[in-house]
Amino acid sequence: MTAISSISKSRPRVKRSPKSVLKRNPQLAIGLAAVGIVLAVAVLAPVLAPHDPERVVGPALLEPSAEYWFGTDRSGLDVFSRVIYAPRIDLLLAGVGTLLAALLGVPLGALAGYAPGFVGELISRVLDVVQAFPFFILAMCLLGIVGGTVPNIIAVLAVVNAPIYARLMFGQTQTLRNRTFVDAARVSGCRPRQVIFAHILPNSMAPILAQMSVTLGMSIILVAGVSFVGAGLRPPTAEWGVMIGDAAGGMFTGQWWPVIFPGVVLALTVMSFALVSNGITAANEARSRRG
Amino acid sequence: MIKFIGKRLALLVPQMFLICLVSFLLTRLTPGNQARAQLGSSATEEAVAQLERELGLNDPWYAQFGRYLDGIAHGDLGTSWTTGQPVLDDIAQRAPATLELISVAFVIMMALALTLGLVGGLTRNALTRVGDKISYFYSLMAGAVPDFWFGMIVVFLFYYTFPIAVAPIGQYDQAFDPAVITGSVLVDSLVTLDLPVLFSHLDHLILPVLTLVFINTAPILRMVRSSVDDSLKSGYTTLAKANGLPQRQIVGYALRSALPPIITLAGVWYTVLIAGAVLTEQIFSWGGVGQYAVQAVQNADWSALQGVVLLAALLSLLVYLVIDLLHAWIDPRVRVTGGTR
Repeated sequence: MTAISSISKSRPRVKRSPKSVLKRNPQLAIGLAAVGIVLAVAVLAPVLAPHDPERVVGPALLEPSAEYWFGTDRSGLDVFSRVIYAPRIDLLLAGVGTLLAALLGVPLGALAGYAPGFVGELISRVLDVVQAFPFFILAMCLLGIVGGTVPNIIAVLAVVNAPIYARLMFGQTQTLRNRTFVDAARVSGCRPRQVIFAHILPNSMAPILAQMSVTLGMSIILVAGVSFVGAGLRPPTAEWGVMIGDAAGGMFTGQWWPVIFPGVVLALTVMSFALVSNGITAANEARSRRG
Repeated sequence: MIKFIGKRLALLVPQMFLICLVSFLLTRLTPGNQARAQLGSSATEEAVAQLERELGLNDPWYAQFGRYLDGIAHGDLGTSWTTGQPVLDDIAQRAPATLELISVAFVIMMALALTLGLVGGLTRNALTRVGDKISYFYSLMAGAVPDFWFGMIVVFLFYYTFPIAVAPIGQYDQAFDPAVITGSVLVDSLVTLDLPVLFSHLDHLILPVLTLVFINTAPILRMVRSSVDDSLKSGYTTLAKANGLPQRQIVGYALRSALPPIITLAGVWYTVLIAGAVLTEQIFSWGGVGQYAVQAVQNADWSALQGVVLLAALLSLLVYLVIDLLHAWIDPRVRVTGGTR
């Protein structure tokens, strides 16, 4: 027992203090920290929010004050509490939607890229067509038809984003299939499935993860957009897009706070995911440069 | 080249067929009964059954799809029940306004992205290094800000706080009654030299264009920048330098090879603008196809929505076709191997 633990201790380990990570890849460090804060806010919302996000707490359209930090909206709801609660629903929708999109698109892309000739051509042509549908219009139309419930929004996010992953994986597979290590796996008797899952997929993880972080941010914007036009979530749900849509009229008459605050927090959240994505890409480039 | 064009055009037919199929399937997702939804909950069972027969909703799906295709072939996209007009007429009436908005924004975006990207890529001094930092933060921000939110901020700033813009409603002052030729107020007022309408229109155009330009210039700017960088770092640029070619000629070569990716992204971004204009139109009550689509969603007007989706997808398909043909024209390798996409 002592011998084993001493061995594992004596193993040379690369020391990675937080400071060096911050210096080597500031985008990843800052992005992850910011995403961590958003997640913490989402989890701790009931503790952090001074009021119930869906209950009238005071007069309508009060300006920001010590009592109501971000003011109240036109129904008398506390904007600050609603902004705090919103990542719960936004991150849930965007997170699950993105995960499903990747689970749907990646195998499809790998199949299209690895299958010879006709099948691959067919899949990539069908993807062309699906991507010809303007992203937002398709999502808005689908949600208008099936109704903007939570499971429907997740399903629509998965469907409209899946082609991105299929295309990404298609490209990866095409690039990697002629590399020596894939040839080596093939001649040593790996089945196509093994080649894809044991060799091509692990080597494609960095771009997939980078794309997932982008999709997460874009999904938050998409959910806000469809909720804004009334095809997604509905008031009084505490969601950034619902809040902005509900208060839109105030921008013509000077009540800026119920619009500005949710938008700023939304933008900062999306920005953190973009930083994580940039960071993953940068780390991967640094790794492949080292060989 | 002719062979390439032929192959590319042949691909268009199955693609268009698939787009029609997808847009047909959309309305089949409608929960519950389409006839009931159209008549309202107070309608009798007989009336619903009657309308179902009239709409042919009891036929098998392939028969319905056949009728749908037949309709499209004859320019019949159904009737919008909110406007009571054929959907195609509705869209044709509104399309010029939308195309004008996104085309004006597109031209300004491209001009900005190309100028800033090329200047940043070709010159190296303290100023461009600061510019790089600014453009990094600008890209990060523009990619994270929802377009409809930014549109509202623009309204708040330039209409409410500093009232320098006109009320952000419509395309021109409602006191005017301009002649309609193409449907695009910009083109019409220029053609008829109707200066009061032109100025009023420009006043209304500036804020939505500003919104679209701010949000959408960033990715193109970065793309222009990185493809100029790539071609300046490439082997043939080094060779050209080593051979002592003048700087002007080297830049010329570099630009030519930086062009194809820029054209692809520009084209793709034009199709992104088609969707991006939806919310911008809504904020500024522009009265184009985007706002029509939002109204269709809000009123459960499925024929109208289906028409917008179908035509938007067909337009994107045509843009992709143009990209591919331009590619083949610029890059001889594409002509031989049959396309990069």
